[in-house]
Amino acid sequence: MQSQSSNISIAFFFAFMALTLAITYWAAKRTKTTETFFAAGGEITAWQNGWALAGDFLSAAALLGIAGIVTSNGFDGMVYSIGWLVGWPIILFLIVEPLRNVGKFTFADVVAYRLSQKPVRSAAAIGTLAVISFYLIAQMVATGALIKLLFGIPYSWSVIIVGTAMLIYVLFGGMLATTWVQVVKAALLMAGGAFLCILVLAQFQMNPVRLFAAAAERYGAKVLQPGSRVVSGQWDAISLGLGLMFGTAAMPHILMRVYTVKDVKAARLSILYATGLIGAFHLMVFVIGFGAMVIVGPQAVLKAGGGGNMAAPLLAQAVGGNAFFGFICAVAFATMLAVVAGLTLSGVATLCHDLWTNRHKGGEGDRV
Amino acid sequence: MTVSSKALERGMVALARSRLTVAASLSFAMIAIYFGFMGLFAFGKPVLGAMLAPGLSLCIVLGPLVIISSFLLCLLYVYWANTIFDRNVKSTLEQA
Repeated sequence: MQSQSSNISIAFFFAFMALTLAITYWAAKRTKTTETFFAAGGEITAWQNGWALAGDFLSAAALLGIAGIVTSNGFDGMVYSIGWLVGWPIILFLIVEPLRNVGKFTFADVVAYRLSQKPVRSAAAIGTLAVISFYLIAQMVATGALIKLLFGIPYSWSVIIVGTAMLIYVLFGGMLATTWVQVVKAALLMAGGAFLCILVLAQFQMNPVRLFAAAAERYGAKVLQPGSRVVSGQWDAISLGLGLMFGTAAMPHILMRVYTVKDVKAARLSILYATGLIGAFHLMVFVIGFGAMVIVGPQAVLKAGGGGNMAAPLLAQAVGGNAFFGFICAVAFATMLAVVAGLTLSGVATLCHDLWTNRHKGGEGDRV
Repeated sequence: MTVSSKALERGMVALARSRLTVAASLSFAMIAIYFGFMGLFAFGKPVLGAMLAPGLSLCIVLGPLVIISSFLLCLLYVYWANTIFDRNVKSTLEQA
C-alpha cells in the first residue's frame, strides 16, 4: 500500500516538475532586462499576483504544520493561522503605498530614498539576508525531512533535488517563472485543501459544528477551548502575536511582489485577493485538522512520525484513498519548492540590486 | 505658475494626509481586533472557552471572525483607495 501510494505521489510530483520547468523555459526566453528579471516587467495582473502572493506565503507549515497542531491540540492551532493572516492588512495599509511610490525592486529602495544610500542599503540587505537565510534553512530542512517521510527518498537527495529545482526556476526564469510556479502551486494547494475539506464535511452533513461536536465528544470539550500546550505563558501569547502580525508584514519575498504589477491600484487589489485566499485556506485547514482528529485520531497521526505533520496526508488517505494521499503529498512538495524559490529570488534581488548595484557600483549598471 | 504649483502642493499634502488618516485608523482597528482576541486568549481563557452550543465555543466563533474581519478591512481600504482616493488625486492634478 505504502509503495503504491508513493508511486502515485512521485508521478504527481514529476508532472508538477515538468510543468514548472516548461514555464521556466518559456519565461527564460522572455526575460531580457533587469525589470523583467526582478519584477516581471510589471506585467503581472492583480489576480495572478494575488494567487502568487498566496503561493509565496502559504508554506508547507500552513497545511501540514497547522493541521498537525490542530489534530493534537484542537483550537490552539488556529492562533498561528490567525496571526499569519492579520499581518496582511498591515502590509496593505502602511507598506504598499510607500513601496510603490519610491521603490524599484526591494524595500531598501524606500528606506534609502531620503537617507544616506550606502549604509542604509547595507543595513537593509543584512536584515533581508538574515531573514531569508533563516527562513530558507528552516524550509530546506523541513523539506528534506518531509520528503523522506512522504516519498522515502533519502534526506540529502531530497535537499539536493529541491535546491537544484529552485535555482533553475530563479536563475533562468526570474520573477516571471517564479510567479507562475507560485500560481500553479497555490491553485493546487487551494484545490487540494478544498477537496479534502469537502470530503471531511460530507461525513458531517456539511456542517462544521457537527464535526467539532464529534471531536468534543471523543476527546473532551477542551479541544474546542483555548489551552496552554501550544502557547504556554500569558505574555508569551502577546509576544507571539506581535511577532506574527508585524513579522508577516516584513517578509522580503512578499514585499517584492508589490512591484510585479503595473500600478498601485493593481498592487492593492492583489493584496486583497491574497488576503482572501489565505484566509479561506486557513479556515479550511482548521476543518482539516479537526477532521484528522476525529477520522484518523491523534495517536495514529503521531505514530506516523514527523511530529504530527502527517495529519493532512493521512486524512486524505482515509477519506480519498491512495491516489488522493499521493496528490496531497505532491502538493506539499510543490508547496515547499515554490516557497524556497520565492525566498531565493528575493535573496538574489537583495544581493544584486541592493549590495552590488547600489552599494558597490553606486547605482550604475543595474543589468542582468 | 507659482500660485497653481503652491495650490497643487497644498492639495497633494492634504490628500497624502487623508490617506494616512484612513490607513492609520484601519491599522488601528486591525490591531485592536487582533490584540483584543490575543488578550482574551492570554488572560481570559475561561471567557473564550465558554460553550455556546454542543460543538461550538466562543473562540471557534471569534477566531474565524478575526480572519473574516481582516479581509473586510482590506476590502474597505481597497474600495476607498481605488475609487475615492485615486479620483481625488486625479482631479487635484487636473485642476493645477
